[in-house]
Amino acid sequence: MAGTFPEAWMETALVTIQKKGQSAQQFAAITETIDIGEGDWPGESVPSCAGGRIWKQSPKEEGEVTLELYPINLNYMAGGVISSINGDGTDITLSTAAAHGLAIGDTVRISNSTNYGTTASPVNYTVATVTDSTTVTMKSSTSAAEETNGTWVGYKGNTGLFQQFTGNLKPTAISTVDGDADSVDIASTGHGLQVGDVFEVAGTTNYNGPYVVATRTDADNIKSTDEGHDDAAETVGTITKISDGSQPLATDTDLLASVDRSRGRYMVSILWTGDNAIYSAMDATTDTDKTALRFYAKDCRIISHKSAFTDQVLKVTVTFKYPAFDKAGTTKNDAWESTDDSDTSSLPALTYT
Amino acid sequence: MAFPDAWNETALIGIQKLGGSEVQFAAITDTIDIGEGDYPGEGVPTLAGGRIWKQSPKEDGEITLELFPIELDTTTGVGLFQQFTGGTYDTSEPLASDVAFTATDRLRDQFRIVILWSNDGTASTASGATAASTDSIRYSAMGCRLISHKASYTDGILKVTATFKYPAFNKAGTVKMDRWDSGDDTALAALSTYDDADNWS
Repeated sequence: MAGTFPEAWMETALVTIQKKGQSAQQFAAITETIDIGEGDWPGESVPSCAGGRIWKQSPKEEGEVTLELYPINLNYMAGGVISSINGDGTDITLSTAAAHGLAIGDTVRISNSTNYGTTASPVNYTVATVTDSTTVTMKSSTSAAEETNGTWVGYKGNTGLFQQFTGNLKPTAISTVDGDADSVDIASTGHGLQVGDVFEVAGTTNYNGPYVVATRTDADNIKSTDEGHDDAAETVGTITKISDGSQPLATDTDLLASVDRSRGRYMVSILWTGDNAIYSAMDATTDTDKTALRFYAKDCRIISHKSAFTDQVLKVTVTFKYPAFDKAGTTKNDAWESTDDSDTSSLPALTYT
Repeated sequence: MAFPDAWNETALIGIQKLGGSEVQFAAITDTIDIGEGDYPGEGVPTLAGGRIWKQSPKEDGEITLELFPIELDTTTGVGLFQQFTGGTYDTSEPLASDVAFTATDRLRDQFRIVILWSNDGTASTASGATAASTDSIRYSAMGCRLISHKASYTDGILKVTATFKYPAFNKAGTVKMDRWDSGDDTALAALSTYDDADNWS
């Protein structure tokens, strides 16, 4: 799109939603409308005895982003063991041990490998092509030898926000967590997990992060075929289910009584661009010869999830709400960005950790 | 099979009174609106100019159906007249909604509402199991009270707009009162009979 901005931004946009600390999910394929309600910054004039007016400013209000979606199912996250991963400097080819269920635009987080994402520094990739049920390719300049170890977690897009609205609210305490060369065993009384579920370990020294249940030994013990945590056993921390990954899928119905109602926080990004080479609203535009306009808001909570079959098609209206600023009052929680094709740099990639 | 591009045109709707049997209402339903309870909050401005997120309790949910009811029978899905009135259901023709009240007892009936979209052509009840290798999505809410029942003949056809309302959680705060399920080329299990006010199993 050399030349100028279009006359208007029309028809298409990229819609990306990322839970804090996780990876991005794409929603453009099931989104019909987007409403960005930046918080008002109101005020009023107070009449003085001189007949003049003193401007009285009120605090900036919360913002809201509302999406109308046509959701399909509850699929949110999946993952497992890597059979093979190989980068040639242009593409990375990922082969999974079991069917991946991924689609173009889905985000794949690689960890526990040597060159493609490590335990300490997992790397996110975007699916560019789906070769078959166990193989995808992802654009990357990484060129390294083929590896046959590692863990992948896929963040499904264009399905729905059912599990995200319900939230994951019931952590259980870890009795022991012990990893070896190719697995991690976790004992946690009443963990409630099934094979395929994605869960997160927190509060440990060496085991924090997402995992996928490979074996459900019993109601109190699980095993993950994870190859990057050959560490000493620990007896602290919690595990929390992030996503139901065992078909059929269901939203969580359990709660701890009256103690924990912590909510997930999300970044919502909307990108209009003439750059056809990117799949995510959080990605950098691919070169300076592209125009783009982007809005993003972080620390969003999903406060409303309304489903309607009024027009004989299942439509969900979802509203995200975010405070205008952070707690310290030093950072605004939303922003707009744009780039002209005469700029010397592209729009940067966004992160939310 | 594979999921459709969107869930269109048809759905199954099952309504079960606590301790009763599920009755199917798809044949007289025109529209469905599922209003899961909002989970609101607001940013409280501090003197530093920052914002502290103040979370509010999750609100009640509502399910609204537009129906073309026929009569007062409660054993088949032909209307919700007696369900809204409450009391003892009349089963002896001609039927009438209950007009008696005890002086102090205003206990309301509780219902479970189940809505199923599926490409399983053999599915006949919203809460039943779907067939293997089919795709489905199902919404369920329990502890629903029928709070509104408005009839209109404005368009020359008797239409009732019925609204069910349910609390977000049970009294103990340990169970969420609504849920979504989906099956990708996988059968959905049948929901258990609704014989416990706040238990899914």
